[in-house]
Amino acid sequence: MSSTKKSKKPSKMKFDKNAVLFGILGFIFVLLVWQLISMIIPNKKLLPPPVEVLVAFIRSFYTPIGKLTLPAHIAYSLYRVVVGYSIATICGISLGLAMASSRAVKAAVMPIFELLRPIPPLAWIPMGIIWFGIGETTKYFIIFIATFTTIVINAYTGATNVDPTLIGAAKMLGASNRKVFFTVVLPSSVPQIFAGLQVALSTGWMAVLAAEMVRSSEGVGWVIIRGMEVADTVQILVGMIGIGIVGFLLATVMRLVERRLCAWNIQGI
Amino acid sequence: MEHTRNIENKAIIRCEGVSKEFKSKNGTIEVISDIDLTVRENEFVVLFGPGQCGKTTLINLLAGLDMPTKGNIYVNDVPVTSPGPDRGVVYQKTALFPWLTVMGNVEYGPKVRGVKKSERRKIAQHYIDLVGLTGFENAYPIKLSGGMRQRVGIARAYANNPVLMLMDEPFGHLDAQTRYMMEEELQRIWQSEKRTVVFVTNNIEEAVYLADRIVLLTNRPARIKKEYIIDLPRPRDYVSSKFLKYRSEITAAMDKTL
Repeated sequence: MSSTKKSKKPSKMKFDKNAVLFGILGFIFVLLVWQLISMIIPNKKLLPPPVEVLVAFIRSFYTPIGKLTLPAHIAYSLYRVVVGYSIATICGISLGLAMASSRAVKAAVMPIFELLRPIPPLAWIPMGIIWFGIGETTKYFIIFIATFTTIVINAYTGATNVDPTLIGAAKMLGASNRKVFFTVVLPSSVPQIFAGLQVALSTGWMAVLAAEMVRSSEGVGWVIIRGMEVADTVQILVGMIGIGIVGFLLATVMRLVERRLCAWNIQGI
Repeated sequence: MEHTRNIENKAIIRCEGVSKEFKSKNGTIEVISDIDLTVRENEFVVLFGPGQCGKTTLINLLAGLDMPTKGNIYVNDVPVTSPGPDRGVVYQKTALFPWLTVMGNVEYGPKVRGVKKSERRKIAQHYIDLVGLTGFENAYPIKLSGGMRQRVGIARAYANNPVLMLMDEPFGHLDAQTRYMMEEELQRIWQSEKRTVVFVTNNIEEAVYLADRIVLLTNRPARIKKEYIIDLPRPRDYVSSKFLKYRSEITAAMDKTL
């Protein structure tokens, strides 16, 4: 970087050629190893070669697996996540902020939370099925359980870590307690709340697959479990690739939204 | 002679026998002891004292962010009991709202007090121009230099039109060069729009450069040791012989024990 103009460019414009090159090399290496193993093993069914999986993956976009194509299965799963996650977001942020602004709420809720937190969301599946049956509600419930705690804890932490000087400054400028909450506490906790939402979205995506694997007739989780039932390893791998790509895309979208929402908090922009 | 005119002016601050103690494990610590102080309208008073002598505590009492253990503080004849927009604070660490732009920060006070948008924009723009930040209205604080952030802090305090401005070592974090520049700037701003200012510093040069009156405080607990009226024309010269005479006289009187 010889000129100052160049170094002032935003960081997202920086394009590391080496990183891209090594990234591609890494991919090629994994595919080669995969190919090799699939050629060595006697039973080709155990690990089909990458080309076959890739072809099946592309074909799954227009040939249905079961009743639906792969994108339709993904859409089903995503819809379930959106429902459970949205409810968890609204309830979670509200509860987290309530805990931060009231000692009583915090004292009442925190211990329950600490006890419930270590229980993995998947352990709720049996209770969910008994309570809500095997329909959609159970899936929403599992996703809610999987995402809710993360969202609450992050909203709570964000709102309690507000710089007290800023609260003092707002009061000195004439802000009422209500205004302090909405103009200082809330905006200053946005980055932390958003970090919670990011983590929660990926756990939600993982939870929906688990819920679908237990009981469903569509969705990516079903694609995988169906593949296992009929011993179709190609179908299992196609489903897994779909999950990976969607998870990656979700994380990317969240990062882009964060850039927008928290521009004031990012040095480079 | 500014000080003679000031004496005729209305008293903005009256501190009567103000003391402040803090409780700790080893008993109570007296930080401020029996301060009587009157500051008149449009007077620039510098509280000057050694390191941790309790100057910031006194500012917090004046701001209403903390209450004195003994004594009374009146601002504009009203007892100080809580924070309020009649007193503007400029902080050492700026305390700007990082999620608001320069404009958003400067108009914050009028906004929470319910001033109409068109009107508060006009007020904010006036003070942004006054502190020399024209063109930076839409920048976020994170993109500004230390000196520029302090300018925003000064504009934000001014925009609320307080009867009293409290400045708590606002230039303490700046490098020497920027600090001189900001002292000159503050003097220019203050001369073009006079306010009653209480300014805290532990830098003698800054004190003599800015003050109408310097209140020298003792080491903890802070008491008023002596007061000096700085009878120099403005803008002042850091190296004039009179300036240096004030400087050495006050430095000699200052508590050396830390």
